[in-house]
Amino acid sequence: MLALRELQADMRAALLGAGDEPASAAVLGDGLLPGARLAIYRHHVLSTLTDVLKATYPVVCRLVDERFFG
Amino acid sequence: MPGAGGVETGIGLRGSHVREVLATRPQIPWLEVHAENYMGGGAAPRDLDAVRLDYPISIHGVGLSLGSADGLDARHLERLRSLVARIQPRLVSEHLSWSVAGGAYLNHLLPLPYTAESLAVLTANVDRAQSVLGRRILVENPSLYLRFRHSTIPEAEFLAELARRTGCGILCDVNNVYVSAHNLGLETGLDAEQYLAALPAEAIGEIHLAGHSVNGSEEADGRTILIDDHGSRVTPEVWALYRRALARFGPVPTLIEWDTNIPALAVLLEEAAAADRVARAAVTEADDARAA
Repeated sequence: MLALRELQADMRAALLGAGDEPASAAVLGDGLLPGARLAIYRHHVLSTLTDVLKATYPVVCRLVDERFFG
Repeated sequence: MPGAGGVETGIGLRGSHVREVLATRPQIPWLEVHAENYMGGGAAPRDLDAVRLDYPISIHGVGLSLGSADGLDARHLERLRSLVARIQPRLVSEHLSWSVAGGAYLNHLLPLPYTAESLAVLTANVDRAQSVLGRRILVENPSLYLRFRHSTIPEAEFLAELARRTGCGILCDVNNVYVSAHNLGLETGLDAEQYLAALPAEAIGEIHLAGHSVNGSEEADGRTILIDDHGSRVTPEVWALYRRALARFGPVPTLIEWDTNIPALAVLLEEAAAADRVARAAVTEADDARAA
């Protein structure tokens, strides 16, 4: 059984874009790919971080275009 | 103002509504705030000091990471202690989830495997939090988008055992029960009403209600995923489940949460009034059942 600390390190890597393996090996697909389920969490983490950057640096966002904050 | 059938329905106080609440003093029995929004400097903590003079406050933490294998962050816990000491809230709550690993904070309520090891971690962390805060906390069931292969304990039983070991209460988010059952129920047979039935009624200290959205990008087999975004009105299915929850748990303080696409304050007050109507109907139903 995967120890919790190890699983959380794997999840952290998956959510910050450092690779879904081995976190996805611990996830049940339940009709979807495990990676698709992890992607729901990754999307939330990255989009809320992006929102914070946008709110903190509105002028930079206007200058370089929203696409660089997406 | 006494609530419907003994149920007092509050609303989540969001930054964009604080001025209006202070200016208009709407009739609402209590307000809940996110702890982390009031841990810094600036106007926010002063505003909360003003709001608490007129309303009972509940403090809902989103960043303590009760499920971290690394243990709790002592500095974050101290910030929460200090806030709780100042505001003297009616309730303090956090989540059955984690967001910190290896010193990195991930801005989300992340899922746990429900194992004996996780239960030991949660027990130690909740014990520590309650000891530092000097009071009981409520722990909320999360909305889930996945489950782990090595989970062995059903979530409701996990929460019940955590409450038994630590003396903590349970915050039952009825929308989360519905969302998790939809997202994971097909394979697991997890049923929202069975979930409510498995929770220990005496430990339930608060109920949350919120809206969710349906993920538009359906998979090939037509499966949809519900996203717990707190960005819309409560759905009819969740109102029905709320009625079941009240029938089982009795009159529990209830909260309307709204966190994305935040509407006018009046819309939150309308949702609270809708919850009161459901609560009144649930209580009448229970009375009729007893009289029959």
